Amino acid sequence: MEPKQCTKNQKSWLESESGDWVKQGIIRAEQQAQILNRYSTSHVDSFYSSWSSLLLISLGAILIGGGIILLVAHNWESFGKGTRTVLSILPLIVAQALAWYSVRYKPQLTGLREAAGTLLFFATAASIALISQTYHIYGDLERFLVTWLVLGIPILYLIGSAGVLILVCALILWLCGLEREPYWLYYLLLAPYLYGLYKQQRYVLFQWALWFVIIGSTFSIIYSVSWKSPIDDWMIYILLALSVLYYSLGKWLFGFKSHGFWGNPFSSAGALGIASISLMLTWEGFYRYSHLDSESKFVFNDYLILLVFAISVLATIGFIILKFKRLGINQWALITSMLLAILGVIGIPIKLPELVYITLTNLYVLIASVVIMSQGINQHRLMLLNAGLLWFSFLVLFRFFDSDIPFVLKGIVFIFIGSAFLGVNIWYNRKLKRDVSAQQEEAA
Amino acid sequence: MKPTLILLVVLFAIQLAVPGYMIFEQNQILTEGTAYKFKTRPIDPYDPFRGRYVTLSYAADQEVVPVMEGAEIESEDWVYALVGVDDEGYAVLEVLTDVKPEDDQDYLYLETFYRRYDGGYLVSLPFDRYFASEENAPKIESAVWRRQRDEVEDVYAKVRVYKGKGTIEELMINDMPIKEYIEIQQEQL
Repeated sequence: MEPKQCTKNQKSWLESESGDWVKQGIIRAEQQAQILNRYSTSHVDSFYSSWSSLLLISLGAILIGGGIILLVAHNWESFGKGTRTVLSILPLIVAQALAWYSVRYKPQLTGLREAAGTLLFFATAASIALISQTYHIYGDLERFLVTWLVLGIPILYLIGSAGVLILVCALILWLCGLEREPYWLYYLLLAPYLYGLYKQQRYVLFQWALWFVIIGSTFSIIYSVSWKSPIDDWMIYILLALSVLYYSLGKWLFGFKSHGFWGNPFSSAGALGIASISLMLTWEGFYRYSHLDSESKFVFNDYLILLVFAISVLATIGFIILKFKRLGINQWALITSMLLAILGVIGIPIKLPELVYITLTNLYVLIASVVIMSQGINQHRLMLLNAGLLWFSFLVLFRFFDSDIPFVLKGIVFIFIGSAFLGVNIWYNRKLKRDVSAQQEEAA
Repeated sequence: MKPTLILLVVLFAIQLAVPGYMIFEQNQILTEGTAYKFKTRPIDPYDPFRGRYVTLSYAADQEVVPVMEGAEIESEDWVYALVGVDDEGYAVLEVLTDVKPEDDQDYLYLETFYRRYDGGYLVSLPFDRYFASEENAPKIESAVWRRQRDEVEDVYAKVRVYKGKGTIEELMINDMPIKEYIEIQQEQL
């Protein structure tokens, strides 16, 4: 069996504790050795021991690379075409030589590999930029960035540097924000690499990259169909479905244990998306206009986003089937929002009235937020409790200021829900007291 | 050799081939292309990677270009524009077509932009940047605009056109390369 990775602190804690157990006769010495063999710090050592120096090297390489770009951008027009052509190829050749030396002769030096990869990444850009400048080649920023990206992604696979991974992720993010094209598909090219990181348990880098992937993809998907597209009005439901997919994917990948907000990017982003979009849907207006615009032309992008929607729905169903037994009530509370997304899309054709849809969304947020609060209390997880509370408070705030509902109705509903809260609280306290006194009687 | 190393060599070759091809292509256009004068006005923006340049806004960009009979063209299509010369010797786009023209006819491969009521199109000429140093780019802009306010100006880009591609050879004011013109201006001040 492959040993599990842990940090040095965790390992030394385990060593001292298990040493105590041996002394106290709970386990034997060979059992202690067996247990300790199940945990290794090798990957983590190789990654973390040089973590700070790695960071410095990456930053250094990025600064040098940026410096080269700036020197190029200055435009040395007095040099003449020939000199400038030689100059534009030169940094590329130097960086390639360094990369070759690192991969061929010193593959064990992580720092050198980081520096070589990052420099090579910048050198490719610098050479293209300088040639473009010398010859006044038009070609917009978009084409330049795409060429850079396509030449840069192989560097990641062949040299494998953390700096290049982050730079590539950032470059794709930039493209996603620049143009209404489905540039987020480039993130798929990173999937094998990210999977490798996951397998090697290099989680810090993995999580960083995932945040980029999530932000870039989501932004790109919104941007690409937010205007002049036939599925423009479905965007909010597609995003809701995508959020549910993110949430499920996170639980699938990282397991059901809590990893904190930054530790599980998919679930955190998904939960955030579900909470905010469901709150938006509690308002009037979104649903009313949520039909397809049959006059606009469907292009590749629109089909792609519809495919994303279909995959989100199917993958969530798959997740529910596979993990049915492990799903807790708070997970159900979030995943059921997928029904709101589906209803939003099919609601108009099946003639579901707006009032019904809005009532359903309001009820959903009310119930789901209360469920999450109660789970936070039961499991003693403060973050869960606060999240539920925040979600609930926003719903209350929105409805209090909602001018479309008559004051009297609002008043009655508020008083009713408030009394329900107080009632449940009093009942719960009494139950607690009864349980305590019952326990005391038993003890006596 | 390990496969990684072989792939690395392939990657290096591609990384060198891309700028190499760009140089080859530009030189081919510059040596074999026909020279045209495109009347223009420069303005001065900024590119974070490639530095300062002036955007050239061409007179030919402002004109509606008619569509050749029988050609099916829509907005944002890539089409062929036949290049000709007007009475004053400046380049004009004569007509748009979706069929690749014969080699003896000069043409540019470009994107249509906006359809006009008469069926013609506005297009944008792709060679719209002239890179200059940080120092010179703003000067180019101000020199040209100042000239245009007082006297007769003759600002044009000397563009080489070859097999659908165009590249700027030089930016000219009154038949003088822009850098020389700016130097003379500096001396007069």
